[in-house]
Amino acid sequence: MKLGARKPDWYIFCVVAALVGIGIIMVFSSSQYFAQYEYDNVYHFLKKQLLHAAIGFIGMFCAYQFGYKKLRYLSYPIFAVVLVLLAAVLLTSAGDEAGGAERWLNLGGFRFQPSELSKLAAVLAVSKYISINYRRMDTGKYGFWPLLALMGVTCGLVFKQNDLSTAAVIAGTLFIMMFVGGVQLRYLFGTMIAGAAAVLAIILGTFRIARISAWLDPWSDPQGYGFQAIQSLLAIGSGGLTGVGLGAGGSKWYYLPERHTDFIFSVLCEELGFLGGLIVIALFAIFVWRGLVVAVKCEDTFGAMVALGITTMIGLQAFLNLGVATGLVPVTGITLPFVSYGGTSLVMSLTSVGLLLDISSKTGEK
Amino acid sequence: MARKKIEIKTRTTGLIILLLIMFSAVLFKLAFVQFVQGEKLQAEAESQRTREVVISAKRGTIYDCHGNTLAVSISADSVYANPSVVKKSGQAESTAAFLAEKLGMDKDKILSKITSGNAFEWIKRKADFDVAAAIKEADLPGIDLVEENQRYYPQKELAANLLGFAGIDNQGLEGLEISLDKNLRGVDGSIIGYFDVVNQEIPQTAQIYNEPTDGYDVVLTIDENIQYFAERELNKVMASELDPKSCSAIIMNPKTGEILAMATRPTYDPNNYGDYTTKDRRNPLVQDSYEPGSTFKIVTASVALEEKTASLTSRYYDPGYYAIGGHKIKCWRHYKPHGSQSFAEVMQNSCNPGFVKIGLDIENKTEGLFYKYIKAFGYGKQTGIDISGEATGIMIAETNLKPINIATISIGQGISVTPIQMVTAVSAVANGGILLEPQIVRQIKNGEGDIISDFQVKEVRRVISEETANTVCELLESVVTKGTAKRAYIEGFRVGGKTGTAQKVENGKYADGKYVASFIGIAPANDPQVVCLVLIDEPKGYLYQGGQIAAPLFNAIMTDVLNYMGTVSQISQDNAGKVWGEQEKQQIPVTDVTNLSLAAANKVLSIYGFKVKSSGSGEVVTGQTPAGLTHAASASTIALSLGNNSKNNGKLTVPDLTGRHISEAAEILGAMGLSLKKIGNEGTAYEQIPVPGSLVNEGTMITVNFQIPSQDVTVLQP
Repeated sequence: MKLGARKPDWYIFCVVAALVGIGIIMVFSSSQYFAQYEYDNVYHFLKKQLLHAAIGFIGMFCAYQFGYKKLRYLSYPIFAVVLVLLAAVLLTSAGDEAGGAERWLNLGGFRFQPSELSKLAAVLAVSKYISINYRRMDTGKYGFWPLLALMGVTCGLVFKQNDLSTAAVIAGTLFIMMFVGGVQLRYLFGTMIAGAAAVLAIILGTFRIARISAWLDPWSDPQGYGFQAIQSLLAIGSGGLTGVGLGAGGSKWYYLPERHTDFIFSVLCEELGFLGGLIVIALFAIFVWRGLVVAVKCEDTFGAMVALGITTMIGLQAFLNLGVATGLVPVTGITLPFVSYGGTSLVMSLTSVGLLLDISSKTGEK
Repeated sequence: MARKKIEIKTRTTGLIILLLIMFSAVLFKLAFVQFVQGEKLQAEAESQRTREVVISAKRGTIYDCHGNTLAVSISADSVYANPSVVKKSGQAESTAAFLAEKLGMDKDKILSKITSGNAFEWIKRKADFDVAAAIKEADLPGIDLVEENQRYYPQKELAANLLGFAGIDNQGLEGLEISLDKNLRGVDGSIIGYFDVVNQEIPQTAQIYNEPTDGYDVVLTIDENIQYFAERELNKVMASELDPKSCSAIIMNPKTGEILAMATRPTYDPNNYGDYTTKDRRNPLVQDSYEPGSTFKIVTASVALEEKTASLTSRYYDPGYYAIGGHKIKCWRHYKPHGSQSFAEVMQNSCNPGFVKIGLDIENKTEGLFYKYIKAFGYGKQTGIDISGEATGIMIAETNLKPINIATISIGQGISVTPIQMVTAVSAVANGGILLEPQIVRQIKNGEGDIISDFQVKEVRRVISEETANTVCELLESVVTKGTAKRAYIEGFRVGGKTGTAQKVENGKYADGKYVASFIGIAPANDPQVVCLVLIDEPKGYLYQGGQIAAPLFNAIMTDVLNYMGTVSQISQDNAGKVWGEQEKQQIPVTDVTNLSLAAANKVLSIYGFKVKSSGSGEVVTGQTPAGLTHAASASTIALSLGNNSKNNGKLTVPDLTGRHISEAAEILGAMGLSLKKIGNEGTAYEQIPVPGSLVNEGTMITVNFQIPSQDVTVLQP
């Protein structure tokens, strides 16, 4: 078979497959109670997530077969299409702003979240730009400013959809790609300071200081901003070393919000304990390590930057999610890659991993 | 190019390290949350997700000494709602309407309850059986029934004031139900179940079931039959023309301290305790105090004999009063002083001046001696009986004690005691001088019938010697056979006892015309098995003396009690006593009713408390036995002979009005066809013109001087 002949990084594949498997089990466990209550079917979310996973693995295989190299020529068009889609979400939901985060786009009966697509699209576009301009990346005119503009447009559009966390993940990823891609550190420090100021302004403006104090001490506002953090900590704290047993946790009885998406790790730690949590964290650490090794080994700058971008993005998003669940970072709505329930996210993540595997099989090529 | 590659390599390696540090931070935070804060968080999560439903313990049964049930818990269904289920069903309106109709409650009130935000709402506690069955049948979503215990008193009023009652949560609220609550209550159990945020129970989760521990059963010393005899007679008294404010009886076994009956009227039905006032629910035998009057003379006599300040051979002279500290303590029979009497006669006559002398003699021997004994008899503090709200009675502080106080206390005035103290103290005399703690609980048993605690006689102290005690018992028997308590005499039994009539104190003054008539008796006198105290509070009408009304009540109760107990019938020491007493010892001046019509004679004599028997035919009374101006025992029968020819030209004999209230005097004179001119507007007749026995024409004005008896010392009744 062709896969075997090309020798992709099997560590990455196994780690991702394990995470997806754990995810499917935990989606079922965390959703069964309210699935029964609201859909009269305990398997409601399990079935859908199995379908997402199947599509995702097909996407992974297609991406692997298609190969990243051809994407070099499609990077800008893809990015342009995604920007249009992001704008379309904003336009279609213009009158619906009070409804909160509107991230969905419906195309011919197929609902998906363009912001999920934008992550990969931004990575591809930045990789292409760096691979073309790597000689003058240390200049402001050709290195720093164009990328900053790209980052600003993407993050701005995503943030406009009330998706601060995804915007932050994209900003962080692109920032790291710029750093590794050779942008001068003085620019990057400036960006960091500006970025920190922007985040601070957003926090003070949109989310108010109460969120920060609720982060430092969730019990200061147990029914308000501290609520989700408290429920997450109660779930995790109930787990101990080995957990209360798969399916036996009580946080899913509507106590813990977003139990099958943003806080699925909390349910996992409740039911499988510290050991379960340790395995998940370790799998992500292995993924990050192997993914970045692929980036380092890749002789092709475009391939290296794509590998770096995909790995960093997934790693950052995982860190943010795990940090929120454990109370390490303030509560913000973000899913755990591969594990949380969610179609677009899982399909895009697995498709990205397909590209990563393709790169890993071609590290010697230019 | 090479420089570029190296830069990517080093910067990426730095990135790997950074990301691994970040993941390590997550891992450390995870460990901190799970291992350091875990216990606290787990407990909070558990309490957030669990709800406790209390299962009440079955309250113990209260039995009488023969195992008859006095109070029992029966199960009744309570209706409750789980509002979230009701709301989800969408049938809240119709459910509320159905429940409102079945339970006879307000529909809106039910609706707001069954749609509240709580996990649990009571709709109706302890619903009627058929209503509960109908609701169960309807099987409404979110409406359920739970079995609870309902207190039931099968004998209704019987011993109600003693038993008290338990409330809706099976908590003792009054009487024995509260004083024995710790034994009866048991320990509630619970079901701890898991619930979600909207208060739906989680299916297939383990419920923690804490089994309730049922309360202990209590066997009382009360004998249902004796209690019934007492209450039956009290009912009769309440329904009689005496129409007292209240009356009560307490019966005690002097050898063990067991209370055999404790009854009072008015009473209530503890099954519907809410329908009655707290006044009806009191237990005055333990919770209230009264001035004992002459019954207290038992204590005075006991102390005097014990301290040998008096002996059976001592003699006392009664001039009709005793002068002390500027006061004259009058004898109840001051109009006909007892004169010279033996100690026994002082007792039999209940002579006040005699007892004042006896009391003062005790105090003269050693100061404080009398009080020491009074306290030793248990007065001035709680007896310790296991009934809530026991009063202590009121005693003048020893430091304020003056000779006049000793004098009045000797005759039972100026001291306030509880009925339970009184019966306990006299029981000590009946028990050979040893004071016992009165007890109401015979046994406490658990659900399996194992005895948790059994009856034990609790000896408090020896108060007087056995010899003294026996002598006092004999004296008390002579009071019944020869003295003021002849109406307490029970054919075939040796009964001893003492009457008492005390004017009531209201607002610090003796209230005119308000008396507590009492009698305390022991039987059989030579081997006491029971001590019985009866009290009649504020009788209406002309009869208010202990000897007149309390002794007959004692007699009525004890006749049944003694027969029921199978007490060996014993002929009194003085077999002829009853007949002899009626002839020999007069108490009440017999009015000469010659020349009155039979109806008028009847009325006049009945006011004085006599019965009337007539013979012959005719319109006027021509003769009577006993004759006018003699004295006869109260309630004895006056035989009248009727004829058509009046005597002495139809002249009437002026009656003796001494000691009568204005209204009584007016009624007597009115019935006789004489008119009253009163001097003074309050009190009792003090002197009269013409004097008793004078012959006057019909319509003659009789001038009567009324006076209030002095406030601190009153004319005392036997």
